[in-house]
Amino acid sequence: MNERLVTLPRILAAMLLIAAVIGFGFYANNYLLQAGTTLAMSIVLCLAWNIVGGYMGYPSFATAAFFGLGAYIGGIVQNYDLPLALAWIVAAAGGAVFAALLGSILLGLRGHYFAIGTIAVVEVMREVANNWEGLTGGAIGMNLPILVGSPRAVGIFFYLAMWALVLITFVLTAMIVNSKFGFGLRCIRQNESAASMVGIDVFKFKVKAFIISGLIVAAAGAVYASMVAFIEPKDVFNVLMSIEVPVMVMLGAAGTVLGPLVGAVIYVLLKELVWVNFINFHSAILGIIIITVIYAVPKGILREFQSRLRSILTARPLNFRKS
Amino acid sequence: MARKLAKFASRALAGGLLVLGSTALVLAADPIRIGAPLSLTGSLADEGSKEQQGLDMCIDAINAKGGVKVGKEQRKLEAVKYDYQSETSRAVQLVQRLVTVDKVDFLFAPYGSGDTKATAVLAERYNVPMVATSAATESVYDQKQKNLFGILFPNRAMAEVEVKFYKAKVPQAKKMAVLALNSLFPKAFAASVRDTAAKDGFEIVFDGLYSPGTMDFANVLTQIKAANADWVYATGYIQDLILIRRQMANFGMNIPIVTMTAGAAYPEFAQNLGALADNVTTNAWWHPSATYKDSYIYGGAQEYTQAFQKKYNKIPTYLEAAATSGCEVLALSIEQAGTVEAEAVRKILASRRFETFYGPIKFGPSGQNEINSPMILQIQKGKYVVLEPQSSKTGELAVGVRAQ
Amino acid sequence: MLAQYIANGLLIGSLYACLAVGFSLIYGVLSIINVMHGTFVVLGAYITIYCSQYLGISPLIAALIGCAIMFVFGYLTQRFLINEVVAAPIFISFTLTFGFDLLLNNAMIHAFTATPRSLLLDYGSITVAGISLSVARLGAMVLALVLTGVLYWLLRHSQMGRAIIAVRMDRHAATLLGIRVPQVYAITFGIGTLMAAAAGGAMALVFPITPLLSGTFLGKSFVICVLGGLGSVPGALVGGFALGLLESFGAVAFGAQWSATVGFALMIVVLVLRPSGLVGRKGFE
Repeated sequence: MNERLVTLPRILAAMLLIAAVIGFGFYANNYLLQAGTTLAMSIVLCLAWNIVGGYMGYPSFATAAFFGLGAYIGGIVQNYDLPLALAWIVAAAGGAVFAALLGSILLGLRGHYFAIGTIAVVEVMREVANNWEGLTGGAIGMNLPILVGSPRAVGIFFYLAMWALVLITFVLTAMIVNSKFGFGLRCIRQNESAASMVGIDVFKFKVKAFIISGLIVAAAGAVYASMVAFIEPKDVFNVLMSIEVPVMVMLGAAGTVLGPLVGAVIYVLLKELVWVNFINFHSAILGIIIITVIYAVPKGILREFQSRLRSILTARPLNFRKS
Repeated sequence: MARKLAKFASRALAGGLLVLGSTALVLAADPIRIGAPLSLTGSLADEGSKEQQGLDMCIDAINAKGGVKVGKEQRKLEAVKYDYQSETSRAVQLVQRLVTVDKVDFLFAPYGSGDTKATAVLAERYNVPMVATSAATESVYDQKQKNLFGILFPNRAMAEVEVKFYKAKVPQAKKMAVLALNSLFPKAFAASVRDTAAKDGFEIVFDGLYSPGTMDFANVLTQIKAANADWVYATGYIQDLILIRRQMANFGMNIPIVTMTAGAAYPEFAQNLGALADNVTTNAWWHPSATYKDSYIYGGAQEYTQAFQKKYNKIPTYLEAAATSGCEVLALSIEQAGTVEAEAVRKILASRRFETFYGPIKFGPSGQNEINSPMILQIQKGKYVVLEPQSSKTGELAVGVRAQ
Repeated sequence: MLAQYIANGLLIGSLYACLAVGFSLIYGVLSIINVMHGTFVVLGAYITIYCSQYLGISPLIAALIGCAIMFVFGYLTQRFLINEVVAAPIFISFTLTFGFDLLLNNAMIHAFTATPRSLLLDYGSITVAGISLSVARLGAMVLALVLTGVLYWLLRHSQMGRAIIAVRMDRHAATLLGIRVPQVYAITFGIGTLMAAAAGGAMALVFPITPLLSGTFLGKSFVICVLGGLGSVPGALVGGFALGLLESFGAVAFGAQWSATVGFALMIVVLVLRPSGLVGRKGFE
């Protein structure tokens, strides 16, 4: 491929970042620890969405569907007294299977229709969870076994678990970007019919992307469920989450490796500041922030800064060579 | 572009300083701090603001007296409030913040059984006593937590009193229809009522659930009408119950007894329905016409009601009263313990019997109030009439809810 | 009882149809999903309630006042705020309207509080051939038909209407023909908002209104439009009735807690099998 993915400056930057994240985990207070865990979760969701929504160009609102699915599968497995890690893996597998099934049905739709279909899936899943008491406990919610240990130890554990997921997803994204698969996805985004004519098995690629995205989100859901130890349908199948994730990615720059990261960090930070300080007007202010972003940086912050940042910071997709 | 970055950076910096500043400011003073996650926006905004008002009533009254006596000094009470937007995950996050950043001494639970349960886990982990003033469902207290104290007595007690009452007053009513909102409290409550009624000889001719956001009860009501129910029991939040009552009138349903929990206990119910609200029965964990006396604040239920009306221009319901009394029992425990140290206060909370304007409160082994004082109410000509208990009774049951 | 179920379904269906007409129009012409739609309906309902209660006028007049106000509001909103992003990808417009909706909703909660409010008027119900029919809902049915009919006529027989259809079919060609597209967009958005306000007036007669209803209304509008045909105005009517009947029978068959799910599930089925909906063919009336 045209650009070397793994360069020395990048490795150094990555190592520094990882060290910073781990260090933060051990020195920050519990509240910041949880905020950091929530941030990590947002980043994971954004990176996962970016594969289907950013690179492939399919506006998916299914994030909440997979998140909730992962949360409940994880919860059910854990309630059989099986180990945590197993629950998370089973949840991820469940997410993959569901993605394969759902994908084959929905990925034939284009644009608006696909978007609307995915929102509907979230609603259906939530109602199923609400009513299938035998499996999910229904509207009453589901208890999960509470992890033994001091709040600090437990907090650090989940913090590290989430950030590990971030690392995995980030590496996965980088690998996809520089592979034939990633190239295929970008072709699909540009012109699906042309991509098909060029010989790309469009359907298989679409489903594969959906599966990868789905299993990551489901894993995140399972970790979340273990962390809070109590989940209800309206909490984990929340359409708002499905809407906020694309907003975050767009804020950063959809279709880039670092875009989701940047977008998530900025959005979560802004939301935290607003939420804490403006108790009565926070959703209005959030709305204003979103509006400002759309008007001021519609292509995403990263792209607006692209010409000014060194290439060291931006992993550009292959076709975007700026002189 | 650089300008934008600078603008953003300065905004972030300002925001960060604001946060740090406010935290520092708070740490400098010396009040006793109660952390209160409130649902001020979102689907539970109405209930959240009621809880806030109740809490404020308590804090204002106590601070007006000079504060809480802790050993030799007087310390004021302060509530640290955040809006969790009716979202459970945010409530949990906020409790985390209240404990670790704001370092509150005690916690108030968020509204409702579901969110209370979710945040109780955290309170237990951090060993901070949490007073729950809006959760009556027994399953909330089934995790053997020692830090959770619930003011509202169990659903089951309410159901038993109601069934006994109506069976005695309207012996010819045999068939019961139960319609419940598919959410933790309304569903559990309806189940309690249904099971108690079935055991007591009622025939359950209809037993159904509906989802939040239902816009039409036509078919459900058509079925209930066809089943010839004598007693219709509906649970849900206020807008659902208003709609159900309206549609019952649309279908020309004349039912001897119609009971609605819990939105019907709020004055807004009658305000929205006008004459249609007449003869609808409901229940409450407390009512302004109660005769309880209080030696700590307000003097009694009547005085409390008057003070509340003066401040907020409306009549308090059991929600506000429970919130006030929740804060009150905390203050009383602190005074008796002579310290704000969690272990000592918890011991008092767990063992003492409190006499408040809300009624007698004694927390049982599960943490829930084990003194049951259910009140049965009926709306007659736009006003609430108390039917039970005898000591607070202000009228007789009027049988028959008509479609106009 | 079957007849009663069908009647119930059609009555709620007509309310649904009112709800969705404006949404469908805006989507059809501007190709944007107007997330503010639910909030507009609620605003229309509030205007109706307040005008009726405090000015003592009949709800019908109050609703018309609401329509007028909201038309202007919609027009200005589109002209100055949304016009920028009309041609942009769906996410941009969706997110923008989402941001505006957050703002509006927060303002509403502050202005009106979350306490439910109702019009204290009861038109009662009539019984025809053993079937109970609520007069208010019958009125809503009439309103739905009138709205759809008027809009349909307007689009075909007025100059502005033709311009709207032209823009919908091909906005670039329309520009070449001399049609002022931004103006058309603004007017269409205004009409869509007006319809939302009218629906709000109807809702005020039937439901207790809180700002939180906007999400429910928006969700229903989605489902209805997809069922009927995104962008088609008669489609909104058909979709509304279809959803009403579906939910009605779904409630009887599976229990009321499943009725909304039935709607969403069927929406997915329609999307996959026949994306243009039961009636619609985007671009042609």
